[in-house]
Amino acid sequence: MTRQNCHAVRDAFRRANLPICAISGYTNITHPDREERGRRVGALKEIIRNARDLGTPYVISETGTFNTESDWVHHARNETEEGYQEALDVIAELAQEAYDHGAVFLVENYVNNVIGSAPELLRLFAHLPHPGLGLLMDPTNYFDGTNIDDVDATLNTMFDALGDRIKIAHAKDCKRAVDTSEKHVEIEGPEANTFRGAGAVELPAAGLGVLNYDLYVKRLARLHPNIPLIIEHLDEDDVPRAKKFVDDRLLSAGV
Amino acid sequence: MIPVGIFSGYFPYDLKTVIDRIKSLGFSTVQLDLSFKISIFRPAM
Repeated sequence: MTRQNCHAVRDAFRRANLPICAISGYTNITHPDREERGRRVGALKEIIRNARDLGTPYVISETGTFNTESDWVHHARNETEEGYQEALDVIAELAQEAYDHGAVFLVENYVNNVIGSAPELLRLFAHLPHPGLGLLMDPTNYFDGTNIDDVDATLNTMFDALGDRIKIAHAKDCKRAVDTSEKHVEIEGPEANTFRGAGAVELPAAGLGVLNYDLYVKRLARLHPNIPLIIEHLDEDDVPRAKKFVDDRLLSAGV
Repeated sequence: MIPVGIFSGYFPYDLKTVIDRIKSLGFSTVQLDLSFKISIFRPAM
């Protein structure tokens, strides 16, 4: 990445009146192979260093897993104190790299990763109160087999606990999975964009699950009235339907 | 009011086509995936 080619991309989006609000940096930052982890974290840092030249401070990644087969499948070490400390050390490095370059590293939690739940995020932000660290809000990532039938209370808990940390928000959906294997769809693009869930909860596009969008956008807009809401987990053919669904919920809420 | 965007990576085209497609669908912002069918970026991940 060079300053020149970053500006070429940034300016092309700006000329189209389509500002870049955040950059995807998804990778397994706690990969158990130290060499592979170093390579991945190094690539993520390169994106972070160049974020401002792409027009935004925000670079997003999930927190990873110690599973060697998949970036989204759980591993027992994810729940240990040692695993948490390893993740905390990497996240601290990324937050500092971001701060040093005028950027902000946004953690996107996911239930099968090291940082998955609202209490785990609260602990992370308590241990690392750093100006280079923020939260990507994707409410569907908090659901597992224990809370998928209690959507509204879970949504309220995440906003009560973490609302002020949010910088960017995502729009997809969740529902109890019939097939609990790791699911991907056959589309071109980065692996993070083909993922559709693993375990007890499936992650389809917005409007195809049980997430209470009226409550979600109401809570979101109350705290962050102008925050970008980014649609995902779909293929190109489904984009018009998903966008209309999200637009209709925003229209209904008046936000 | 909340602006609605999309990941650019759902559009596996060159930069100009990515922008044209996203604009034509009515979005007002993007989350940038560094994966255009151009050789501008090749992050090692």
